[in-house]
Amino acid sequence: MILIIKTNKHPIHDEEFVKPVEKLIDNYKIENIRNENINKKIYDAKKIIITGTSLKDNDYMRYWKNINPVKTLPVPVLGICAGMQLLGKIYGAEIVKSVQIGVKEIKIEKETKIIDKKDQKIKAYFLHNYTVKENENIETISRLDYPEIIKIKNKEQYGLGFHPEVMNREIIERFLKM
Amino acid sequence: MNVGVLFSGGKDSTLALHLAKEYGLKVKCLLSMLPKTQESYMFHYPNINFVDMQAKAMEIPLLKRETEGKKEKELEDLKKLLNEAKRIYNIEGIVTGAVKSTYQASRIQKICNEMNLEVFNPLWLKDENEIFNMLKERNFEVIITGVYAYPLDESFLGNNLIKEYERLTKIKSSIDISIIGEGGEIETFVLDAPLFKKKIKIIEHKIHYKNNQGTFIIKKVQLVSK
Repeated sequence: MILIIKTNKHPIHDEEFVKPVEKLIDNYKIENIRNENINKKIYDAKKIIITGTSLKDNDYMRYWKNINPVKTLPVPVLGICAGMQLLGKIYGAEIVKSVQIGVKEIKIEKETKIIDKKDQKIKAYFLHNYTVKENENIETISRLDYPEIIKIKNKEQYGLGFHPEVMNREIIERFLKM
Repeated sequence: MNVGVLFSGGKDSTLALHLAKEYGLKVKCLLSMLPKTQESYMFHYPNINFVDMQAKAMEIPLLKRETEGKKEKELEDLKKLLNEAKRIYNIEGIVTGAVKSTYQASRIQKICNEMNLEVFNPLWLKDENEIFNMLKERNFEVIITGVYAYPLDESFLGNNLIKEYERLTKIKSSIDISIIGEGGEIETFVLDAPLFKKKIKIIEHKIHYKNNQGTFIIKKVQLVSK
C-alpha cells in the first residue's frame, strides 16, 4: 500500500493537490490520511508520498511531529512542497521564507534514483512561500535560493520544492519503481 | 471561508463554482473581467456581457470590471476587482476554473499571494473526460459559443456541448484537439446548472464564421422557469 499523507487544511484542495497525484499512481493500492490524523497505518505503508498544499495554507506545520515515524521506517518517501518541508523538519532542518511561484529552471547537481539528469536543467512548477535549509542530514540535489530537491542522507527519502504532478511526472514514475 | 469566484460564464468557471459550493465554501460573489478587446491574454470574452444574467439566474452578486485586455494592465485591473471584493464581501479567497495553464495559474497565484487571498483551483489537472463527466453528472446545459480550430465548423455553434460529445470524440480520433476546448479550440456559455434557480433562454443570436473561426454571439436572453 502506498500511503498518501495529505497536508491541505481545506478538503476542496484535495482536488488540486491530492487527486492529481493519486491519478498518477492509480495502479497501486492507495490510502490517504491528513497529517493531523496519522495513525498506525503509516507502519503498513510500502511507500509514502506527502502531498503539498496552497500558498496560504500553513496549518500542516502544527502537526509536523506526526511525521516523525518516517525517520524509523525503511520505506521510500517522497515529500512534495509542504511535504518536503515536513520531511526536512523532522530531520532538523530550518524552515525558511522563500517565495517561488511559477515555472522555473533548476539544475540537477547529483544523480539519484528519482532523477538522473545530472548537470542538466529541468523546468518545474513551483508554488511555495517557504522551503528548507540544508543541514547535516540533508543532501541538496538541486537548488534555487535554497534547496529545491533534497535527499535524506543514507535513505531513499526525497523532497521536492516543486510539483512533479504538474511538470516532471517521470519523477513520480521513478519513485514508484523504487 | 468567504470566497469570490472568477467567473467568465463558460463551463470551467461555472463548474468550479459548483465544486466550491459542494465543498462548503461560502461563495459571496462572482468576479468578472470584461475585456474591451478580443485579444485578452487571460480571460474569455464572446458573451461575457451576459454574465449578469447568469449571476441573476443563480442569485449570486456579481462584481465586474472592464479591462483593456493588455497583458500587465489586465493584472492591475484584476487586483482592483479583488480589492473591491475584499472590501464589499470580505472574501478571504478566490476560486478559479484553471485546468492546466501554469502561465494563467501562476499569475493569479502571485497576485493572491501578495493580497493575502487563498486560491482554490478545483479543476486543476483534470483531464477532458473527467470534466466532461462532471458536467454531465450535474446536468449542465452548456452551449458552444466559439470554435477556433480546424475542423470545428459553424455547425457546432450554438449546440449543446454534451450532445456533441460523439462528434467531437470522432474528430479527436484523427486530429489532436481537446473536446472541451482546453487548448482554446472551443468557447462555451452555460445556460443551466444545478445552482441556476432559473435557466437562460436565448431569444436572439448572430453567428460569425470565417476561416475556421466562428462565434455564436448572444444578442438577447430571457430567464425562464426550470
